[in-house]
Amino acid sequence: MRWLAIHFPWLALELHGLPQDKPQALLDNRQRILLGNPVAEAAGVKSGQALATALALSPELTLLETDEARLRQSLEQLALWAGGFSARISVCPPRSLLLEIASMLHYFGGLEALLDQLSASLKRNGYNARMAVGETARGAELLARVQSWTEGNTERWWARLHGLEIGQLALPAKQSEQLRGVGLRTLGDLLKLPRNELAQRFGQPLLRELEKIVEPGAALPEPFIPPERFRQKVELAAEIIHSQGLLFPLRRLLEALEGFLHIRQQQVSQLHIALYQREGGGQQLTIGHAAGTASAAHWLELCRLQLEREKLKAPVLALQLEAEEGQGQKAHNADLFAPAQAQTTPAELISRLRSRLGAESVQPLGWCADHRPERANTLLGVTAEKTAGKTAAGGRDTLPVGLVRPGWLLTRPQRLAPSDQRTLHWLRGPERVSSGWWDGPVTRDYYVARWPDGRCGWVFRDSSGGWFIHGWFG
Amino acid sequence: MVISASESGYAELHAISNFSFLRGASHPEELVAQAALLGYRALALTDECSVAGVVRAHQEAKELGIKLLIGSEFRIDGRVLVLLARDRSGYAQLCSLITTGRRRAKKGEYSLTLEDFETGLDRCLLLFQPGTDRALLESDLQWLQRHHPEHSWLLLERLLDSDDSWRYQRLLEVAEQYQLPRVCAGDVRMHEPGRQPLQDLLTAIRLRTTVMKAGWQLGANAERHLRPLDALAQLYSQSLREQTLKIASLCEFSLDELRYEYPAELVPPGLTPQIHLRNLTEAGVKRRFPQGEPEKVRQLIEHELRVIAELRYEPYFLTIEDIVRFARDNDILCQGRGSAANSVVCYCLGITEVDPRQVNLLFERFLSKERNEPPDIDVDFEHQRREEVIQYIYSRYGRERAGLAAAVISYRSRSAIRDVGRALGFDEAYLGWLISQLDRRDTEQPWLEQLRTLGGKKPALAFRQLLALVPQILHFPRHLSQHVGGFVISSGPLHQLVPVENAAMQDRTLIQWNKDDLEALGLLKIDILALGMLSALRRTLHLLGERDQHPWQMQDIPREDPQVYAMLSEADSMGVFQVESRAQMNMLPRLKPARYYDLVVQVAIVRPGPIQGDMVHPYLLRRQGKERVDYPSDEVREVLSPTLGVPIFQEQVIRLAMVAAGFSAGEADQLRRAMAAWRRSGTIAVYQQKLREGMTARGYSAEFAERICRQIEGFGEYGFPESHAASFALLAYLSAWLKYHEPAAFCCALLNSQPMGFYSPSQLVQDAIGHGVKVRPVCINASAYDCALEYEAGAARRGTQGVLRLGLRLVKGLSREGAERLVAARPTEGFTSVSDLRSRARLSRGDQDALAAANALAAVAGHRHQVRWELLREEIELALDDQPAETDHSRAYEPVVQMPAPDECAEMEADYRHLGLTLGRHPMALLREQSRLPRVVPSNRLDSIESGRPVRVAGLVTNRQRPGTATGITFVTLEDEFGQINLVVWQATARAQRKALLGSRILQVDGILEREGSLIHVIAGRLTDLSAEWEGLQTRSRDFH
Repeated sequence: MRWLAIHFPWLALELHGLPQDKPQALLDNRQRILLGNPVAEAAGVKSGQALATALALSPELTLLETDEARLRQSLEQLALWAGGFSARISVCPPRSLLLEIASMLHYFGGLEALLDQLSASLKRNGYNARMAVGETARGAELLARVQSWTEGNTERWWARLHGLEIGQLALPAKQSEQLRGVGLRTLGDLLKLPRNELAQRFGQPLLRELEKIVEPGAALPEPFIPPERFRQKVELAAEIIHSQGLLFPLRRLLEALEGFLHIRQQQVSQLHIALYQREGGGQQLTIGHAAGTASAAHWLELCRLQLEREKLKAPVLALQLEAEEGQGQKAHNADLFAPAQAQTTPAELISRLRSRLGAESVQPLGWCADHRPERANTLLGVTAEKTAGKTAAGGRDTLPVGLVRPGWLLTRPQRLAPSDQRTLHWLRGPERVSSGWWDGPVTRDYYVARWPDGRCGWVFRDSSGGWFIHGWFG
Repeated sequence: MVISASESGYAELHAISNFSFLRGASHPEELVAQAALLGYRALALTDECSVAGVVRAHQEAKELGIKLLIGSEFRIDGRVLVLLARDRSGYAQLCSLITTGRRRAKKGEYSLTLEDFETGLDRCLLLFQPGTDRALLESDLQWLQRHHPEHSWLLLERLLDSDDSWRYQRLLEVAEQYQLPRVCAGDVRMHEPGRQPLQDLLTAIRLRTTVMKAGWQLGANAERHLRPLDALAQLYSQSLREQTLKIASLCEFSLDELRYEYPAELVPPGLTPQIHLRNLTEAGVKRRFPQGEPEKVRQLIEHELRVIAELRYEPYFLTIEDIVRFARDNDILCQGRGSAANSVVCYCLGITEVDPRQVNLLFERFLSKERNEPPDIDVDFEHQRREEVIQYIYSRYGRERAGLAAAVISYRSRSAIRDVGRALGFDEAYLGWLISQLDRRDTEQPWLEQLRTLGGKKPALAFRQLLALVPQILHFPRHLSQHVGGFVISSGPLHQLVPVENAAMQDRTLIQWNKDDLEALGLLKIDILALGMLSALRRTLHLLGERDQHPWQMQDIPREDPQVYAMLSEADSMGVFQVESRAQMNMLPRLKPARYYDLVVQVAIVRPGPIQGDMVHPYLLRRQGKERVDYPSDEVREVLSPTLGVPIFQEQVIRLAMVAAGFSAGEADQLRRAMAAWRRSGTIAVYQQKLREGMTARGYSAEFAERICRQIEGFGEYGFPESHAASFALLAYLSAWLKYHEPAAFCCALLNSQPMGFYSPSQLVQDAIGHGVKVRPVCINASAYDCALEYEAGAARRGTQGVLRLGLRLVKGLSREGAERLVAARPTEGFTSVSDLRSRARLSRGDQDALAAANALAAVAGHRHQVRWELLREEIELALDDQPAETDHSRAYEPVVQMPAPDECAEMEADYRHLGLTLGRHPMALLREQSRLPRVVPSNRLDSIESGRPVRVAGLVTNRQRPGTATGITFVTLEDEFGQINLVVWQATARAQRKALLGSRILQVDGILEREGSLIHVIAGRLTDLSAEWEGLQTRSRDFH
């Protein structure tokens, strides 16, 4: 057998990394069930069912959302992982991988041993998969969608392939219905018909499709090309509060890293883990291995040690694993502020500062559309920059007319002494700000006032009648 | 009313309500009440390009004695223009302008420019606020001076936002410079500042975002509310505030001035409406009573005409008569119902077929002088032809004068949770889950309480906000939609009475008021409704007329046929109007209707009102003679004797309030309205108290009073009026008669009127076969587009049944044009071959395939697999014709491939898939033959089993419902080759076996048989899903080939 197809029927659910012993399901945009995990299916949840019916069958059902991009991202992470088992991998969206195994059987000590190792690794990572071997790539893939098939006997394999029903051949729905309408039931029935008769009715695409299924020499699927650098992110379905809870999602990433390095015959000595936290915060971890290694198990152990010491500042929503480039590359060590060229544009300066200091260290100061002044003046962050620009251009978030805000806003308003109050000269106000009931209500009357020494300050009175300074005008 | 200027006086001239959809955060009534509370002298309701909320505000203002101004706000490129109506003609000008703006834009929007405000508004006042664009300021003010030198003001509004002080100063300066009069207002969007969260939420919903992301689109503060007078005094000078009073005093218009005028053209020249109505009625008397009318009828006619004349409602009856006449002339069946419909006059005018001799004469109860309310007549038309009637009305009166009433679509539980949740940032899946968890029928725990429990013991902040905001947004209007068929027709242009706007549907326009608004102002509307059964009846009558060579009409059907009642008493009612549902079928054998009035009760009793009011059981006991019928007094006897002392109809409750509790006619009318709205307003309690007191004072027992009160509550909005039941019962009888005496024609008509009713074509055809009807399959050489009746050539047809030939309309995927082209191209001797069909009818490939798949080509070709295979070929030539095509323009073609013929199982599956029904054997028959149903008792043998014995049944699941009227029970209907089996599944059983109950297509049930008279139920015990057996059968039988 030359090919191995791995089909992940529940990938769209499993990628969230939740325990699989609870019923889970995916909804489509019409509030119908798209897919249920095995526990949900056992309770009678089926695809196409109305949400209300599904919940009647399985009241504990957890509903998840997965978009195309995330599914694709997970499948590619799995393709990286598969690098540990085969040098030639293809991604067959939405839910299958194809591995060329003929050349690997010797290395792993036979088909059975290879499959055992694959199964063990998938199980560790919390994936359920069906594996089917095959003489043709497409044949193996179609078979894996229906059932597992690990027998090496080619004759029996071909018989099983021919027994696939028309509806299992992943043909266009209309074609599939037409073929069944003329009394055909299986691939075998279809193959018995003269090719020219089929072509007259269904055209060349059907013949090409059939050829892919049954001709070992047919055009091979595109191989998967891994990215140059390893940087993979995973979003978590449930917020993680304890650092040890990060180990499971981290394991998946580390195993993908191992596959990635395996194919390149490399190892790394430093990993960066970025934790994305609620309310825009983040935490960075750097983990080193003196000699360098590719092994997921080694790295996992090191991560465990480090995480035990690490206290999470806020619940984690997502994490990203980034590997240093393979060993042997020379690190650049130029002087941070050494003038490269004579004068540079602001954009060049920013990009150079970013490359020297790290992207996160240089952030634009910007407006966030919020009536509460302390929320409106924020660091936009690197990723927010683009989106902020976009909405501003769209006009929705243009600043309100006549908005007066001080250039220097105090991080925390300072109480204004009653003695000071009497010396102030009121220039403007009140401007009444009452907003933010959803996550931090603010009710204040703001005034612009001049101090005896000429400074202009921004002061407010809150709902309890207290006076505060909130900023200074330049 | 003249308002004198005083120091603290203020009138709010710029306030929008929630009828400026997703902008205003208070109901019109709330604004009016708050303005009154704060001591405002007047309030102007100025919704954006709309007067949809003014009637509600008007009613509230009348009640509270505060002056209401009618106006509207318009936003044009940042400018704000507020128009206020000074008098009736100013109001007409305002309505015309709104109509212009709305008719130019698509539904829900408007499009106006400054030019539209230049002329035709001389009886309105204009308040003008320039936009923020400073470049336009000068030209705007010049425009204002040029076009509105009088009666216009610069509008100054201080909202204390970032722009406030600069802008206020600037406007004061330019007003000075241009010598413009100026006035202040509040740009009000909510009645009190506590509505700010809701206001922000509405903004987020409107912008399809969340409150967190809405940013500067939200208001900076809560100043857009009705502010107390002292706060206003701090913001605005006294002269500015005095201006508001001056403006209010210039506006003298009240909605009470609106007078409805009927269209005049229905009365021929030289006649008065009275004489014309009299003439038409007398002509009807001759038609209806050819042997001369009985004395009692004559007396009634005179009485009714007298009442109509006193109330001057002749034009209303004439208008309806005209519409009904159009329908009759065009062979469109119709039937009137409602308070005034069941009168001798309406019977004579042909508006209803309900014979006044058969029902209690209801007329005088509903149209009485004391209660000066407009008569209510709904007319049902055939559902597929109602559009013709609507277009007739438009063409008869012009689009200027006829419009559909609006239906205000408001937030209900689901939409409220969804929209509020989205705006608070909840994800869709979670909201879907929340909604699915609510049982809105649960009366013990209202859904809002249920929602509260779903947040857990310590709900998150966002969930608490959801809980707080959902009840606030409930009943907020979201948009205007068209009422199902309520027409307003006026004598002059409608848009001088109320603005007209575009509906979503092409060529439809609607007015900005709904039916409650119209009723409150005493304006008349006519309901033009659609009813599927009327289509089916007309088709049946047509088929019979064709057969007998003389026309059949509704009045030709003999009344009070005992055989028909006997059939209904056996619950043999599939297809019969109103009594074919499972719940009705359960009631029929208990109630055993034996005359027309029993059907009137039957139609009304199986409804949530009587069931929740606990009226069904007592009525049945009394009907079966198991409970004594007694009345606490003669007055009560008179009201309740037709229904054995149990109030069944809404009218009876009203009458009881009058005779037993001493309600005046006016009070009884208020009670009726309160009943209709009690869930919303909760005002019913006031009336209940009054009822109790009134009855006790008149010597009725507390128990009797309590029962009546409870029944009123149960009735609520579900109470069914006798006046409607009377019309429905007649249609139920007529359809039952046709089902009994003419089952083939009746089934044929039902099939041709789909979609309608409770049952699928498959069930209707099986029922017809069960009643001895012969059915022939769809065939390209015999079928028309519609199903039809075939008779033996040469034999006398009259009175024979005919054979039902299925029509091409049943073939799934066949286009109507294709089917019609086929029939038109068909030679008298029929098509001889598939290529003959192809060359003559020129069908698309899709149509050909649909016909082949439905086996409609069997007469000229082989089995459907082979036909479909050959049809898929690109070339025209075909090989499968039984005879070679006459014009053989093709080279000889030999079929290369023989496709396998379908077996019985595959035929059946293809029939269901492509036709929706099969004339072959029933799937259960096949399973039975293959011994896959061990010990299962078929439906036709159930009557040999004793009540209370265990039994095993199985069948296709055709219906699964959890009616609101029976808590906790699920009704399931199974179908086998002999008929239906009724299952009752108790809640505990349903819970324990959800998977089988909800997931099975074929279900086997072990249970207990229960019998009540001829009614058989199986109380479900163990449920087994047999769907897999069926799939097994399919593959197995195929493997044999």
